[in-house]
Order: sequence, then C-alpha cells, then structure tokens
Amino acid sequence: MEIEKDLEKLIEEIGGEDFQKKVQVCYQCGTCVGGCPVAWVNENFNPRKIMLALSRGEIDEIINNDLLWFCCYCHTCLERCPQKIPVSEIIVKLKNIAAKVRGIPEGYVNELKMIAKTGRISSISSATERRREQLNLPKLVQTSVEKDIKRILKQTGTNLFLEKEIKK
Amino acid sequence: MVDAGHHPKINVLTYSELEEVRGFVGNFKVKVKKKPRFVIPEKCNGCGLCVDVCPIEVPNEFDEGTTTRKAIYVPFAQAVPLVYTIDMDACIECFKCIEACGKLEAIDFSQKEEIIELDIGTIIVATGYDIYDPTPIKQYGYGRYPNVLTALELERLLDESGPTMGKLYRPSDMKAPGKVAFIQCVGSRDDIHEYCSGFCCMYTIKNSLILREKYPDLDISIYYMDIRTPSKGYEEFYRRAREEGIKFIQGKPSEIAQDPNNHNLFIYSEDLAKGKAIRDEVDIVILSTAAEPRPDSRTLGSKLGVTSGPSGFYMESHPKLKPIDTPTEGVFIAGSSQGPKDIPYSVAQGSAASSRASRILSSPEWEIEPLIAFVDADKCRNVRKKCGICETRCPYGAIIAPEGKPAYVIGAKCHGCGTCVADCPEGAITQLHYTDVQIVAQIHAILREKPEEKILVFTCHWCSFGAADTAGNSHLKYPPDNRIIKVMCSGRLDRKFIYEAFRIGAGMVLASGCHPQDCHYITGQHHAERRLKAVPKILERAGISPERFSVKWMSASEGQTFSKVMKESSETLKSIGIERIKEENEKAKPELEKRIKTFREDPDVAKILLADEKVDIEA
Ligand code: SF4
Ligand code: SF4
Ligand code: SF4
Ligand code: SF4
Repeated sequence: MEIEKDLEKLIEEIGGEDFQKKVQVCYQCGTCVGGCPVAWVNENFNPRKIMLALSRGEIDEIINNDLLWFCCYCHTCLERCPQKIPVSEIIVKLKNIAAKVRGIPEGYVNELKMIAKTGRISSISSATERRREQLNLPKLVQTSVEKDIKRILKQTGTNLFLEKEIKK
Repeated sequence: MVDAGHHPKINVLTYSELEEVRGFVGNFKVKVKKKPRFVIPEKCNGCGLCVDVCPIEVPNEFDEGTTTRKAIYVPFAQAVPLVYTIDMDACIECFKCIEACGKLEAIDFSQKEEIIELDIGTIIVATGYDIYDPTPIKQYGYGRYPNVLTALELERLLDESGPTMGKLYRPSDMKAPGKVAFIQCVGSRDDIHEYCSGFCCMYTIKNSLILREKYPDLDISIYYMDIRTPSKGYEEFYRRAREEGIKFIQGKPSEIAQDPNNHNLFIYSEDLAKGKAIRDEVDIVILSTAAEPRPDSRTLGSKLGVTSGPSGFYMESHPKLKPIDTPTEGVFIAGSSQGPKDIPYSVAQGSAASSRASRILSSPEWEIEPLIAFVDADKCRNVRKKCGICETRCPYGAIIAPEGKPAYVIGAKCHGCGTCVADCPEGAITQLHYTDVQIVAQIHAILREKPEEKILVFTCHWCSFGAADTAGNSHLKYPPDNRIIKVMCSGRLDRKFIYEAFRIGAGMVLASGCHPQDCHYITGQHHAERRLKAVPKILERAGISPERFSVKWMSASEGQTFSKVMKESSETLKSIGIERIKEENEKAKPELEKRIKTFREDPDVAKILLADEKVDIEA
C-alpha cells in the first residue's frame, strides 16, 4: 500500500503523464549498462533491468534489492541514454522510496555515520597514506565536521535519520 | 546513368541547381542555374593531361576523403557526362591546365553561370539523402580515433577500384585487422534522429559477408539493438551471416576507447543476451550512421511547393493512399528524399513516380480537385482602392490582384486551402465545397440543441482531423461532448465562425490544425495562427471566459494529444458550468452580433441565421 503510494508519487515526480515518455520509452538497448562503472565491476548491477522493472511497475522488486544502492550517481547513463531517460535521477528517487519503506542497507548506514563523524566515508588508514606517498600525493588532512558537514546533514534531513539509526 | 545520358529523349543537366518554378501542372516554367565547369564539353577529349599538372590537392568527396583529387577533376569514373570540371573554391588560377590542354583549347576560364528556362509538364523530385556525420557523438571517437570508420568509408575501402584496391587496412598503421566490429543505429532511433534509417541492418550484413569472403579468419561482430529484416529474402540473408560465423551482439555500445600506443579500440557495451557489461578489443570499428535529409531540402521544397515532415524528409500527400504525390499537383517525390529506403524500394518508388507523371503527360486535359476558390469581382475592393491581401496569403501564387482590377484565381494552381477566403476583408472570395453557407449551416446544425454542453472543434483535413482519426483507430477514450467541423486547412478558419458559434450559444470552441512545419498548404497554418491570436482578447472583452476558446496544433499521428485535449476541454467545460456559460453568452451577444455583420449582409448565410432565430421565437 505504502509502496503503491510512493510509486504514484514517483510517477508524479518524474513528470505525471511524462512518465510514459520518460520511462516507458526505454527500449532496453543497454547503453546505460555499457557505460556504467558499477556494472563493470559488479555484473549483477544493471540499470537497464532497473528501468525494465520500473516500466513494468515491479517496484517491490527494485526496492527490495540491495543492488539499487550500488549506483554511484555518476550520470553516465543519463548522458548517454539514446532516449534521453534520466536514469540516474530516477535511481535516486527509487533510493529515497527504498530508504523510507525498508531503510538503508547497513553498510551505507555505517558510511553515513562515518561521514557525520569524520566527513569521510572511511577513516584514513596507514595503507592509504603509504599508497599516497608512493604516488606523490599530499597527505590527507582531517576535516572538521562542525560547519559544512553538519549543515548538509541537517538541511537534507539526514541527521534525523541518523539519530533514529543510532537509537536502534 | 550512362544509359540515361545517351537516351535521345533524356536531357541530363548536371552541375545545375533549380532556381525557380512557376506555372502549374502541365505548364511549369522552370529556371535552372547551370554552374560553369570552365571546361568546354565538346572540346574536352578526356585525356586528363590537365589533372597531371594541377598542383592543388583536396579531399576526394567520392572516396569520403580517404584519397585526394585535383582542383580540375571528374567526380568519379562513371560520371555522366564524363567531362572535367574546375573546382573554383580550390583553384589558385595558375593556368597550368590551359598550357597542358594546349591546342584542344578545352579550358575556358571566362565561362559564366547560366540561367536556362524550360517548359516542363511534370516534375519528379529524387534528390536523395545525406549521411549523418557522427563526429558530435563524442563517445564513439569518430574523427579522433583513426580506426573508427563510417560504413560509407568502409564501402570505399572494399571497392576493388577504390583507394586501397579493395583491401581493408587499419588506417592508423596500414596493418591488416584481425578483429572488426560494426555498431548499428549511430544517430538513428535516438535523440538525434528519431526514425529508423531502415537500410543499415542489411548493408551491414552485406559488408560483413563481403569481409568474411575476403578474409575467412577475420573476427567480425555486429552490435545492434534490433536487426530489421522486413523485406523479401532479408531474413534468409541474416541467417546466412550467422551461418558464416558473424557474431551478433545485442547491445548499443556506450563508448569506444582507444589505446593511445597502438590505436586499438575498446568497445564498452552490454551484451544483453548475457545481461552483463562487456569490453571488446578490436582493430577497426565501423559506424552504421543515420540517413538524413539533404541540408537544402527545405529550400528546394519551398521552390517546388513540396513540404517537409518533422524529420525534414519530403512529405507525401497521404502516407497510405498518395505515397508519391506532393501538395503541388504535377510534382512527385521518389526515393530517399521522401524518407530513408533501400534500393528495391527506391526503384519501385521511382517507377511509380514516373508512371504517375506520364499519366499527366499523356492526357490532353487534366482534372483537378474541385475545391478551388473564386472571386466575386463585384465585391472585390481592389477596383476602388489598392488591396491585394489575398495575393499575399496564397502559398501557391494562385490568386492575382492586378492594379485597378478585381482579383482572380488561376484555377489550375489553386490548392483550395481557403486562406485567402478567410482573410478577404470584403468576403469576396468563395471556396467551393467550403463556402461560408456550408460551414455556417454545419455550425447551426451542431448547436441546435443544448449548445452550451457542446465543444465545437474545427480541424484541418490532413493533420488535426487525422489526429482525431488516429485517436479513434487506437481506441483512445474521450468524452462524447465534442463535434467536429472539418475544413481543408486551418487557413480557412474565419474568426466569424468562432463568433457565430458563441453567439448561438456554444459551450466551447477549439480551433486546430497542423504544426507549422507540417502544413500541407505551406503557410496556411501560419496565417491561421496569426489570425486566431486576437480572438481570446476579443472574446474576453465581449464577456466570454478566455478558457472557453483554445487553439491546438497537432499532427495526424497525435491521437494521444487529441484525446487528451478533448478530455481537458470537457473538464474545463464542466468546471465553468452551464449556468455561467449561458450568462456569458447572453452578455456577449450584442458584441458578437457586430462581429458577424458581414454574415447578415450575405443573403444566403443570413437565411440560415434567420431560420434558426425563427425556430427559437416559435419555441
Ligand atoms: S540507455 Fe536508456 S533506453 Fe537504453 S536501456 Fe538504458 S534506460 Fe533504456
Ligand atoms: S549513475 Fe549509477 S546507474 Fe548510471 S552509470 Fe553511474 S553508477 Fe551506473
Ligand atoms: S483580398 Fe478580397 S478585396 Fe482584397 S484584392 Fe483580394 S479578393 Fe479583392
Ligand atoms: S490562398 Fe488557397 S484557396 Fe486562395 S487561391 Fe491560394 S490556394 Fe486557392
């Protein structure tokens, strides 16, 4: 029920009647997959199949699958889609529905917590530092999360979500 | 071509451009610009000594720039007539060629461009198409990566008398390739060109088989979205390619990358059958590029009275019933100028066009559609004071208003759009079968009962009526409160029709027609749009809510749009409500009455108005 409402809202957000023009016109050409850096390393991640499921209304299938979260939002698919379908934008909207309906997979929650704490998705390890030195890259500096990071988390509502998660 | 060049009754004018077409079917006066060749055909014996001495080299267009030619040249070996031409954009006027030609004196730098006038009965437009240049598709690297070719470039390389004597090399290092890949639909079926170019699947399969025959060990793949083989023998050909070991990989590649050291190419694609991303290293990639209209097709079309569709290809009069005809009687279209097509289809259409044309040439008289306009000389004000509005409206030059004399229509040229009729300030022009009397009678018949519950829709014959038809054919649903009146062109829509409809109580009026670029009467829609712009303000001032009148342009394929507009209009009508409509109409009556004054002055139209008023009074 909840999902259905969300799907309706998603359709509305993608553009009401334009949903047909923006999603259902996908002719399953695979361009989005061919250029996707994630599909390249994880053969189970496939934006074309996400579009297929969406245009057939099989939204449960999409949001119950953690693979959805693998998209790194690089927009290559959106740039190259011969039908001008905003694939990456749609994936973000799907992630938002998934977050509401069944939460965010643990790995990502941990990353979020890390960002709230350090401003990075992972801590600075000695291995990283060594590799950077080899490549002649400057040392990483610890950033402060007090100003910008906190503001971003607040404005996006992520802090509320985090509080809930921490309580759990 | 060579046969045509030798035929006593065929006069081939090459290196020439159409300047102007006047007249009408059977009696066209055509001006053609013959560009100077700077070589006298009768004196040139084709020895080619001039070519040897010419110091200028430019890319050879015929070889797709894979070779060069001189400034004095013949375009290709089979050219008709086989006469040299000097390309003045390239020539530096060193006059070495004159010296080489010597006593033959075939070179003449003083030649000027020449305009010739011809009497022509019928015209067939077969101007072909262009190949899309894939440079803008940056991710495929054409123009940057030497080993990415277009299919036409491959054709030249496969030609035994072409630049490589029919051998395929990697352009980067002239080594023989071990692996090649074709990519289909480059610039077709996407956001660049919506249409399918139609013949690329088959020529790619053909080229892959030629390559297979020449190089049995070559690894050949074809990346495709769909392989389209609708004609006779095509599917069998596709099967043969599979038997020959050509790999068909379903998936539109996202990108081609190049190894900067050896110029090898990497194709990034999905292999749909496997459902995963793949990377394929190849020596040469061949892009099957889209067919597109010639860049000057619209300019040429406007000289001929031939319109172009949204894709830019020439429009046939009717997609099913008149595939060869154009809006201009006596002008026909054939081949890829009308849309991408392969050789058998082009030959069939060419034969059809010539037989359509010879029907006209072999008959002493020619019948035209009886929809033409005529002027009532007594009403035309051009006699008293200079007017000629009609002359500026006619897209075909069919109506003439000579100074001090009444305007008149050349019947054979009139296509019956009715634009002049609607714009004549004196109501002096009548269009047969679409007279004011006929249209007003329809308005009255439709609105006789419960007018405020009805939406009166004016459509044009070709596009918006077609859209209504498509909506019906596709079983699209919309409320049954609309009534259609069809005219040939929205150019016929006189504002008075709209005022009259509201005067007698219409709930809503919708005026519709084609999109500007699709007008079957070239500029009829343009004049309608201009004319109708003022209507909402006038209605509003009279007291009618502006949302009760709307204008919508749509093409014949837009059944969806039609049903959508009908649904929306119906909702608007309901939201305004019958009571308010009645009120507004009552209030607007005196103003509208003023606006339709000329209807009262026409005794035949007035009769209809009076008859209805009499019924009302009796009721
Ligand atoms: S690139 Fe576009 S049309 Fe092709 S499969 Fe992906 S979303 Fe569909
Ligand atoms: S935006 Fe996501 S789905 Fe699209 S190409 Fe990038 S990672 Fe893949
Ligand atoms: S527009 Fe009417 S009045 Fe004016 S010249 Fe033409 S026919 Fe005569
Ligand atoms: S404007 Fe239309 S109706 Fe009038 S003369 Fe020209 S073609 Fe005929």
